[in-house]
Amino acid sequence: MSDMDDRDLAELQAQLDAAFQSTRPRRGFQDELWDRLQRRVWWRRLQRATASARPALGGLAAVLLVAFGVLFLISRGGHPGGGASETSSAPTSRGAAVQQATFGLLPRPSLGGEAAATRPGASSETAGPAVAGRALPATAVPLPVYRYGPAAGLQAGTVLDPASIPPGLPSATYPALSPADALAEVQAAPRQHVTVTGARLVYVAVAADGSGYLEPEYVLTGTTQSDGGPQTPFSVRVAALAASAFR
Amino acid sequence: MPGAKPAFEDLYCEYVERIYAFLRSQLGSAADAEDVTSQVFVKAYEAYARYEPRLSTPAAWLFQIARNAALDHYRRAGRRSRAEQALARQPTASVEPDAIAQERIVYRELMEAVAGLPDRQREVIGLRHSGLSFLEVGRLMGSSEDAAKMLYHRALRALRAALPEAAT
Repeated sequence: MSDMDDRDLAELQAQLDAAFQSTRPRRGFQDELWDRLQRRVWWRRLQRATASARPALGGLAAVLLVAFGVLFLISRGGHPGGGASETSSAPTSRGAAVQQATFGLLPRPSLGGEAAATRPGASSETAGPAVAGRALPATAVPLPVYRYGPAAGLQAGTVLDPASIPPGLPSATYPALSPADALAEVQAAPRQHVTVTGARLVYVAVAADGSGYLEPEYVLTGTTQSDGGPQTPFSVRVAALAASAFR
Repeated sequence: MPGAKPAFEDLYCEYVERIYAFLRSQLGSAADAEDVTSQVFVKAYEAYARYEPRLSTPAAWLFQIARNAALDHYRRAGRRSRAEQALARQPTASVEPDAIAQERIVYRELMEAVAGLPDRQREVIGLRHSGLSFLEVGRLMGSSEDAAKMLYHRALRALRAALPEAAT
């Protein structure tokens, strides 16, 4: 190899080093990917959990209904806030704790800390039924919250699919409830057999003090049956964030 | 060296740009590099519980996922020839002014020349200039450290030959 060759190759190596170090994704890509990553992984977990829970839930619903009811009553008695002590361990990410300061404590959604349930075809909201969630994951994954301004044109109470969230909104990650914890938050109703057949993540617009936030909630769907009566479909919306995220 | 398992978020912050640059050099298109970078980190996130730091460094583990993702990308696009892919990249780049603005134009030609190298030469250049040691490069590519060095120097010469005179 000649000296000229060596010099050429050394120069080329230096150019390659500079090229690799200066090749960066477009601005905003890193944050977008992180948000998308959390949403996609969370959504897959929910899908997997729902799929695996479906066959198991039918047979175990009655037994677990009693267990959840008892646990619910115990947790209500011990912690008026409802499960806050369990969910305080949810923020496993250092970033979640750091970014939580970005938006501060959030306004509670209009659910008022209780589950909201709607039955298809019914006009009024009812208390949520007890549900069986044996196969749902107990691990909590922090979820992003988005802040929006008047320009977003969102009215309080608007429900959005995660994919429909307007791009470019500032976000901060907050500790979330695991699906199992979220299910435990649903109020028990006696003598009801409940089967959960679907779970999805939505974002609900919550406005307070001149600011608007898109906060994650779970929509749980399934059927209830009382005293051998006909099965009734239900759809329950439950706050997905841990109690420690709220004012 | 392999050691403690860092938080995934730290891993993401440290490597997302390096993985993107590696994939940009392998795929030749900013849009493809973004798509595959996303796939890499989704896979990494889902597999992180199974990652064993004592078996490989985070860099080696992530670049293995990235390398596999790039190969999958090429397999999916296998019906098109490399030349057709290179042509297809041009209009894609022209409608991404934002992405282009973020890249150093002076190095774009060099990265695209890397993307045009034969598979193993392209990989060895990409992995080496992403900060991996020759030992790590060799392990990822299924060869010894010395073989990785030799392949790298052959790739450098091939790259120099592929570049226009003014670029070197």
